[in-house]
Amino acid sequence: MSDQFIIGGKSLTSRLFIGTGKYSTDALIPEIIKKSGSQVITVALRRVDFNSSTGNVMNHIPKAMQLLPNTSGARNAQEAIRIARLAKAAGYGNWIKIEVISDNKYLLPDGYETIKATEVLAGEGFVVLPYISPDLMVAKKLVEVGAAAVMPLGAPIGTNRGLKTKELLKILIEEISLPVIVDAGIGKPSDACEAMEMGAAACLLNTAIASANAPAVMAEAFGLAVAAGRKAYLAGLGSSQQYANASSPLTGFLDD
Amino acid sequence: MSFYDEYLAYSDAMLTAALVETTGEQVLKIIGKERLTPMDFLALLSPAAEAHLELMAQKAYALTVQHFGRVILLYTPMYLSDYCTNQCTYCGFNATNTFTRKQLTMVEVAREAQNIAATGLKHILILTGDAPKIAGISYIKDCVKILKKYFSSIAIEVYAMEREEYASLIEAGVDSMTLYQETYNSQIYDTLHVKGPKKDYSYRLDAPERACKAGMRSVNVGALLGLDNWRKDGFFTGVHADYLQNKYSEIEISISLPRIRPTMGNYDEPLQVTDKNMVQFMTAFRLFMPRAGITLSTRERAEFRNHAIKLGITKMSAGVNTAVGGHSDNQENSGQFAISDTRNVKEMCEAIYKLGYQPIYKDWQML
Amino acid sequence: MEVIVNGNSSIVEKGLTISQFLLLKGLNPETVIVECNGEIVKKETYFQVVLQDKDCLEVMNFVGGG
Repeated sequence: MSDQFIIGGKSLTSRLFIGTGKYSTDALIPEIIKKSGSQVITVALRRVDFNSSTGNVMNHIPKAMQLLPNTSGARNAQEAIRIARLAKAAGYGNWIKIEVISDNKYLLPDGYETIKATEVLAGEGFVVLPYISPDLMVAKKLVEVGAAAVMPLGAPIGTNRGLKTKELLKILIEEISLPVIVDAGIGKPSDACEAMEMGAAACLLNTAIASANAPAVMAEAFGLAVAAGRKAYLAGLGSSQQYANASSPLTGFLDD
Repeated sequence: MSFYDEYLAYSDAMLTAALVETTGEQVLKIIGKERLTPMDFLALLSPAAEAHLELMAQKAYALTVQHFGRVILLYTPMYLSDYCTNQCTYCGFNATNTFTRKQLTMVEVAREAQNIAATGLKHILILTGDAPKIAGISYIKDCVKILKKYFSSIAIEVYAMEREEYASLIEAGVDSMTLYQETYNSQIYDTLHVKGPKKDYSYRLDAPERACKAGMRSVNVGALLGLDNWRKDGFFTGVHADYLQNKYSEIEISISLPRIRPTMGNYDEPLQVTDKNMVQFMTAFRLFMPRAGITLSTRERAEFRNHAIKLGITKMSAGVNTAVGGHSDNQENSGQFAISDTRNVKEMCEAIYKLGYQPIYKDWQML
Repeated sequence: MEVIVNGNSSIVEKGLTISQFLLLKGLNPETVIVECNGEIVKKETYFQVVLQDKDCLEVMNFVGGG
């Protein structure tokens, strides 16, 4: 059976998005990409460091990869919009991950500013993937203003704690017509597998791979986990009965 | 986009086939699911699901207690006027039925209200026939003005109106609206509604949505079971409620399951709807829409209503009289339908307590 | 003349294009994004745009991020 995954008009075969942050060296990236099977990769935008001799991260990302620049550093919609326009000027496409964070303690996103930025950028033709807390009303608003997907967190960024927001993620998957991509907090391949079994469209993860002892091997594990979870979802999980053995019958009176 | 487009998506042939083809295995799987699709709901209404009724009932009971608690909201209908310009074959107020029509004066409205309020009830449902020239917006608004002094929630079950009309009633103090499509089957609908404005199927079908658009706080839909195959009308009732809830997430959507009762008039044999069918419908719906209210009226006999309390019902009428002024006079004016459960409020409360539930008189107050 | 680059003052020759400036700094014009006086400069025009005295440049590129 064909399982189409289309975002911003682009057809993808891998439902694992990866990041490029926190690696000991950018040179690991090509191997991570290969082993994970991922086709979408995030990068951040920063001022060039004239004194540094490290090469550009773009040197390590194959041309075929779909670039997903993020607006990390933005504390409000205006800053996110500026970063998005700058990223687009780099000439690698018009996808943008909106990340508006003014909370340095937990790195939780500002839903309100995210909605504002999404509306402007979607209007300018960007393929907008907003990063949010799993808030149904925020997600609905994002659908309205033209987001291409919604990216709710499973747990705060970098915590590797898994799907702490599982109940809310399920609601989003149920109610939002756009792809729901679980972004942030995924720690183990089984977390990613679980997200996919629940019906998420994809998973985005960075820390879980970068912080592993053997990142390339972990990347492969995640690739397999996402694929397995997706297959399980498509196959249709069997029913689990909770109400089978009840003590007092409620419909006995019908037979009287 | 209107619900009519959704209705058309489910052809009669498709429904008939699905009902017949559903297997017991599929039913079990669906009962175990956390969220049901409309087709899942249809499967639970099929003959194959009858063998698993107890399982459905147990889950419906658990879900209802979870989302509503062990409570039953009480209300009563107040018939303001039985003048009607429609000729609906199944209704006691049919324009061709000859009986002395009556419409409450404001003094009588106040008296009815006092009598009802004295029983402790705070939620009132006001009804009229379809005669806007006699019992129209301004008459209803005048009644609402009086009723506001006695009740904290006023619901209307009147003729299908324009959005602006609903808006003006909301402004006057109405917070809830009930409208039964009678039958969602457009062909049967046409034969049953011989003459009068109610003959317009689509206008009526879209009325609950117009009320939603006008800002009604709660909207209640349903079909008169027995006019068409109950499985199909039950299905469309659920799908209609689901459509409204998805589109207007801020509004409280609920359903009623009125089963056709003997009335004055010449309506032929309705299709059979057994107690078992009723139980299947209410439990299937509870699984389909765990947070939507379900009302069961006094069309049903006391014993059945008692059992239904644990099967997902959340709202029940008490101390009912379906004649205009029935709470004041004791004369035998023709009611809209014959009541089966004649228990007054006190008796209803006793029965509810006995089942381990709490009767609620007031759910909210419009400020 | 003086130009401000990424918040720091820099003395450069008159008549330098953005492209030449970047190459001077050891950067590949293909991989950087340039904002001049708050406006994004189109990459195709790097070789045309001539720096003026007191111009304020922001030179950015992509880095690793999640």
